[in-house]
Amino acid sequence: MSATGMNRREFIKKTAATGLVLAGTATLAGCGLGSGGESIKWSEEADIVIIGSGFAGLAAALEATEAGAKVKIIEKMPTPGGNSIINGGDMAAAGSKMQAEMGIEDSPELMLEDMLKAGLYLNHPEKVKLVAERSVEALEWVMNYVGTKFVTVNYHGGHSVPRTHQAETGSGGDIVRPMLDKLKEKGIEVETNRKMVRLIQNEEGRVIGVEVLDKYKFGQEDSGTPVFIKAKKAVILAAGGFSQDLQMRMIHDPKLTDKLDSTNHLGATGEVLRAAMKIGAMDVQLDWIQLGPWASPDEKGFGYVPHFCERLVGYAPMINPKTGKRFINETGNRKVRADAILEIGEPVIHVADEYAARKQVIPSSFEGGLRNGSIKQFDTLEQVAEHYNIPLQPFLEEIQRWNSIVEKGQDDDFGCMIFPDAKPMTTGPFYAARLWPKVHHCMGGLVTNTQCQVINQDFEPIKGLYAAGEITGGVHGAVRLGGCAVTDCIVNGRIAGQEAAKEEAWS
Amino acid sequence: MSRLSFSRKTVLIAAVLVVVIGAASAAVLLKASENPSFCATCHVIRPYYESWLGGDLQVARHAEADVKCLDCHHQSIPEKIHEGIAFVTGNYEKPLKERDFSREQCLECHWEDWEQTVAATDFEMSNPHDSHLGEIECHLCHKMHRESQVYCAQCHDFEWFETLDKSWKIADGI
Repeated sequence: MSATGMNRREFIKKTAATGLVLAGTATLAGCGLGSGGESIKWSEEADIVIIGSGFAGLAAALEATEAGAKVKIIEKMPTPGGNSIINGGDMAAAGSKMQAEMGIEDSPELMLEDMLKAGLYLNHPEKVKLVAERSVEALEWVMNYVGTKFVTVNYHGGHSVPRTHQAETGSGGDIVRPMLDKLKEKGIEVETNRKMVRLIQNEEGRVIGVEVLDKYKFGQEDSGTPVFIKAKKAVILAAGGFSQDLQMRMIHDPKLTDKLDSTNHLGATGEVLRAAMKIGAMDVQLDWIQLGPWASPDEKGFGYVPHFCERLVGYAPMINPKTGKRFINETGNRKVRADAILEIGEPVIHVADEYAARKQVIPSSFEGGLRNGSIKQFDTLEQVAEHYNIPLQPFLEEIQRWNSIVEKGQDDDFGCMIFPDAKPMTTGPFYAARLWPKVHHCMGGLVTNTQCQVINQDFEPIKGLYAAGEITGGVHGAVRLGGCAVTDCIVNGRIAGQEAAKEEAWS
Repeated sequence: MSRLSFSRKTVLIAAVLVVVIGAASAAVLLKASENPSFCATCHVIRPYYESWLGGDLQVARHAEADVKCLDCHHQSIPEKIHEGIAFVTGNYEKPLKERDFSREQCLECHWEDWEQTVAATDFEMSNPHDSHLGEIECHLCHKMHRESQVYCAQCHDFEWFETLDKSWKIADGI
C-alpha cells in the first residue's frame, strides 16, 4: 500500500481523463452546450445511456443492442442487479402455457381487472393494459430469449387465479444473471460504482447526456470524480424506487419512519427520480408506497417468511395475538393486509399445520426460516398460544371456526379465498411466524407514455428521455399485485430500449 | 585556454558522475523498494506494513505465504518515481482511502484454489461464492489491511457467519 503511488495513479487517471476530454473535444463532436449555455466536455459517449441495471435497465439494454444501438449501463452500486437480483423471482403472466398445463384458466382481461381493482382504478389505463396484454409475450421472452427456467405457477394475494410464474430457485437472479451474461456476449458490461448526478439538456431541452461520478463508492457521498457521458440518442432511466430513501419516503408518507425496515437493497434511493423532476418531469402518486405484509420482524431484509406466508394464504389463518381472532382476508391485497397489521400495532401470527406447510412452502425457504428462528415449530396449538401470548380459549375457538370455513370452502367472515385442497387444521406439529410489514415498493414515479417517453409538466414528452420499471408510476395505481413488478419491468424495459434505439442521433 | 578546457573537462566528468551516481542510486532504491520495510519508511504506510508483519488481518496470512507489498501493489517505475517525489514533498493523500483490487487480480494467484474455495463454502442454505448475485468483486467481502465483511450480511443472517475467523467483522449489515 502506498499513498504516494495512489496519488500517482490518481494523477495518471486525471491526466488520462483530461487527455480524453481534449481528444473528446476534437473527435467526439466537440463541446456540447448545456441548457444554461454551459460548455460540456464529453469524455465518453454512447447512443443510449441506461441508468440502473435491474430488470428494466437490462431489458432495455438488450433490446437497444439488438436494434443496433451502442449502449452504456450505469450502476451506482458495486454489484449489478439492484432490487431485481434480490427479488423473489415471481413473474405474473395471464394465459400462459404453464397455466394451461396446470389447468388454470386466465386471460389478460382478468389480469387487467385484478390490477385495476387492487390499484383502486388509479392506474393509468393505457399503461396497465399494455402490461397485462404483453405479459405472456414478456414471460416467453424471458424463457426463450433470456433462457430462464420457470418451475411452477404461484398464487399471490389480490389475484383471481394463480398467475405468478416462479423462476427456478425462487430468485430474480435467475433472470438477471442470464441477462448479464447475454449482454457480456455482446461486449456490454454494467459500469458499476458510477452514480448519475445530473441529466444534461441542450438549449432546446433535449436530453443530450448525463453527468456521473466515476469510481463512486456507495455510502461515501464525497467519493467519485465527475465525468460527462454523451447520449447521442437517449437516456433511459431505470433506477428503481426509493423505499430505502428515508427522507424522501417520509415526505410522501410520514408514517414510513425508520421504525419500519425495508425489503429493498440499500441503494434504493430516489436521486435519479428527483434528477428527472429537476428538469421538469411530471410525477404521479409518489405517496402510494407499498408495505410487504408478509415480512417478518425476526429476520433481515426480504427473508424467508414471505415465502411461508404468501404460499399459505387460503390454507392457514392469520391471528391477532391480542384477541386470538382472525382480523383480515388473508388472500387480500398487500395494502389491506399491511394496513390491518399496522392498526393492530404489533406483529400478527400466521399459523399452519404440517399438511399445509409441507405442501405449500418451498423446502429451502421453510428450512431457512426454521433455522434462523423466524418460523417456529410447536407440537400443539396450546404451545402456539403460550409462546405468542395469545388468549388460549378464543384462539382455539377461532381455529375451530377456521376449520369449519375450510370444510365449507367459503369464508363468510372475511371473504378469504379457500383453495380446493385446503384441509382443516387438526394435527401437529404446527408452524407459525410473526408478520410485521416492511417498506417494499413505490407505485408512484415518473409519468411516461406507452412509448416509455418521460412526460414533462406541459404534458409533452421530454425529447431524448425514457423511463421504465419502478422509477415510473401509473402502471400499478394504489397497490401493486405480487409478481406484477417483474412483468412491468420486462414489458416497459423492452419498449424503452426499442423506442430509444429508433431516435435520431442529435450529434 | 588550457584552464578553460580543464574546466570544461571537469564539468563533463562531474556531469557523467552525477548521471552514473544518480542511476546507481535509483537502481539501489528500486531494488530496495522490493523489501516491505522500505515501504514502511513512509509513516503513512507504516500501519499497513505492520498489519502485514503480523496480526489477525488477511494481509498477515498473505505475508505467511511470502506475498510482499509489490506482489499486489503493482507499481510501475514511473509510479515509484512519483511516489519518491511525493514522499519528499509531502504531497500525498491524507488519510489514505481504501484501495480496491479487481477480481481478476486476486484470481491471478487464486485461480488454482478457486474451485476448492467454492466447494468449501457450499453451506446448507447458501454459498457466498455461488449466490444469486453471480460473480461479484472479491474485495466487497475480503479486505487485506482492515477487517473483512460479509456482503451477504446486508440482507441475510447465516449460521456460518459464526464460524468466521478473527479477520472478519460480523456486525449488523455493512
